[in-house]
Amino acid sequence: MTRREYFNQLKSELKKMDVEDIEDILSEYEQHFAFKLSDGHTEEEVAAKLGAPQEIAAQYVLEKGDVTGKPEDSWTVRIGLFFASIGEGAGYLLLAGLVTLLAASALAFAVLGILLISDIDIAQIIPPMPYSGAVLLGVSCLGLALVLALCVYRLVMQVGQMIKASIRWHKRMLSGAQYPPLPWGYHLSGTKANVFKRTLQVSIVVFVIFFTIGYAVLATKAGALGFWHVWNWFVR
Amino acid sequence: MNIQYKKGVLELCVLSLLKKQDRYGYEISEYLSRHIDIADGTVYPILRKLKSDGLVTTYLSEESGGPPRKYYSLTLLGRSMYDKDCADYLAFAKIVGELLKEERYDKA
Repeated sequence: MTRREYFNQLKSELKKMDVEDIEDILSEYEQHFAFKLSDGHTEEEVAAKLGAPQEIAAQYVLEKGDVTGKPEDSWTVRIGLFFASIGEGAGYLLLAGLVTLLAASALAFAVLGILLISDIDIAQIIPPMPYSGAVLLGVSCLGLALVLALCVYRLVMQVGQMIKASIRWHKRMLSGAQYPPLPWGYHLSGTKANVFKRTLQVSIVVFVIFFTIGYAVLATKAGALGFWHVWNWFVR
Repeated sequence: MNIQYKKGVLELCVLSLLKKQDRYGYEISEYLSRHIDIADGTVYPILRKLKSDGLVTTYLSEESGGPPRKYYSLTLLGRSMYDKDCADYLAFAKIVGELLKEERYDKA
């Protein structure tokens, strides 16, 4: 059996037996194959030594005697879980508010940046300033927008993972710990994590540098540190 | 050997391996299959069961030039469970050993 065939069979057997976290389980066998193949074994050898997919899959199905915890499907547990859900729901609502706020700010800064760079003033929201300064501030706004957008992304992933973990926790409570708990924290891995980190660093640097230069340019042109007074920005 | 019988003992062996240090799945599988005659794939379901029983936890560790490895680590509960089960098993094995020896002498 080749590696592909083995995985297809194992996956379909696990599905048939209604096992949870199939991807997580398969990843262990992926690693097993990777190690063995790099040691010079053939795919057929590795598959044969692993054991038949049907037998492996069957070992993931817990028999009644295997469950150490007692299933606590009682009224008290149900009522407790119900109140826990209310608390969780309130928490998620708060987080949803935060996400919306961050996303709106990201969008606002992105629009402001584009307006500043393209020198278009819709609805007279851009105060008067020389274009050289406006471009620099515009780029810094885009940088800030990206920082905020990345925060939104990270937060949304984190909340998603928390909801998954919480659903699993409820299931564990009712089934007597039949399934392993899921991690509460979201984990970015491999290249994704690197790309995320790099983009965040670059956008923070862009924001800080362009803001500083923009400020310096505007202050020089106006001949005062508080250049907004010179151009009467906040005076109606 | 009977698989159900072996499963309990294998759980104990996995806990004992993890008592010394955290290890990743393949390491455990290699170690056990070198000493005990089992299919290579048998260890992973055991690890998962130990995790859902709260005896071990897992964490991912980035390795240079490869996907992150999933490490298994003994929890406090796992540690105390191991100490208890280990003592129980050794006492049990000793008695069974003596019984089997007597049986042999009787035959001879």
